[in-house]
Amino acid sequence: MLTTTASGRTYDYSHSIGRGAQSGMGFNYPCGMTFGPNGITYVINRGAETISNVPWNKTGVGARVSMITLGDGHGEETFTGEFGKYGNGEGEFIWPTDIAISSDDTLYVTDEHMDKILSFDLDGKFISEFFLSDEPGTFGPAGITIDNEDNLYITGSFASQVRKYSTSGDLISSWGEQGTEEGQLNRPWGITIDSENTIYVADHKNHRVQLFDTDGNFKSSIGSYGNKFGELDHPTAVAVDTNGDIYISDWAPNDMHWGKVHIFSKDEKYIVSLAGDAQQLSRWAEMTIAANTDYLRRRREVKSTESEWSFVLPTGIAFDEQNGRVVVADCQRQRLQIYNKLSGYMVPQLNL
Amino acid sequence: MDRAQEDELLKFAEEHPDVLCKDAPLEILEECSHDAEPTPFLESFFETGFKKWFAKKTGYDITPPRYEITNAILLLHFRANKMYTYHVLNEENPHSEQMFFSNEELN
Repeated sequence: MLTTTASGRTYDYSHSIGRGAQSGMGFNYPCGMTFGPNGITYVINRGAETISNVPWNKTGVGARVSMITLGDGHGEETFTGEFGKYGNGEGEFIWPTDIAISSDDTLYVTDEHMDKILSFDLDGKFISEFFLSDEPGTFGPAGITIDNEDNLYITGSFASQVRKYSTSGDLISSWGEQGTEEGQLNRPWGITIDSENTIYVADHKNHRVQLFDTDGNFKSSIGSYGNKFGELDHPTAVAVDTNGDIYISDWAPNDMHWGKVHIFSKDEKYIVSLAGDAQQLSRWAEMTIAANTDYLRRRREVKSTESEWSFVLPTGIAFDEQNGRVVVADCQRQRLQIYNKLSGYMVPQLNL
Repeated sequence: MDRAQEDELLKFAEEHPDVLCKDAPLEILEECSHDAEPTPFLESFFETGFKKWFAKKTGYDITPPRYEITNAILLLHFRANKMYTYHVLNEENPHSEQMFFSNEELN
């Protein structure tokens, strides 16, 4: 469904952006994003480790931060640059996973493998980095969010913990441990904070989203495991919009693959789910097909392209407040899918 | 890219193994930007050029081990994709004086 209406809300599919690429106009496993004040969307590309028989820190390609503008509709996106490089040196990352922006416009990137946080300016110039452990691979920084006092909240996927840091890397507090009880976590991943300073953590392997205050006190929990409406299956990321509606990306089955975005109201009631609606290829994917006659001919032999519309393992989600839209990192499809949240939508009246 | 263009570019790889990055065919760079992995044609293109460059470098007409060829293809494809990005963004190409089919110093 290109337009999804439920409980007074309307989500209207806008367009998709991306194609597989190790550099430039495309993505390589996009898994997180943030919006800069300059109109640029910064997209984390996890990259892929494909090259064998070379030192472990030189096997990866495609890991980077892409800088793009989303545009208002199909074909209006622009690629404006990229930064970052695969590696274990200063200013480099092995497994970049998420990105957030502070009030002074500094970008913070998590490196899940090296247990470090890197900072860059809006042009992608490396500023500094700090480590979260003495031994890489013990904490596993995955998601990151920043409150209005510029404290960083970082999920540790290996440690099943959330830590609060200053921007200079001083540990302020931490909470969580491996487990299934309230306040315990199992491979936490995405994290966000709303305007009332509630922190939402995608508790990936506990199939729920847990809510905490900024001191780590448990507030409530959304979802439980399952594939029925309102149930979660490996949630990966969470976002909250200006009305308090909550968006959770997860790996529940859709009609074709695995991946949904579940939407809950501020009072944590389930509203509706999106399954992906990329009925039209992105402009960049169209460029690929136009340049390769075999691709074009092969696609014309296919009865239906429906299987490529839906999400496949979405791993990032963000709400673009300035433009009132939900942006989903459709990771395995190497693209973003964008939905406008409409206000005042009129259901069509057809008297046939 | 049609068959005739592909044949022409394969011939180019065969005959110019020591071409510098700054003189690499733009069609190849653009083709590399279209996908995260090299297409069969690009694999052939880079394999042809890499083998010729390797033979010229060593002075012996020997074929490197398969894993080295596979790794070289991935690295050359990645660099070509990056070079297209520099072209699109009108940025200086730091590889411009390096040999296009050489995998030396690449990671």
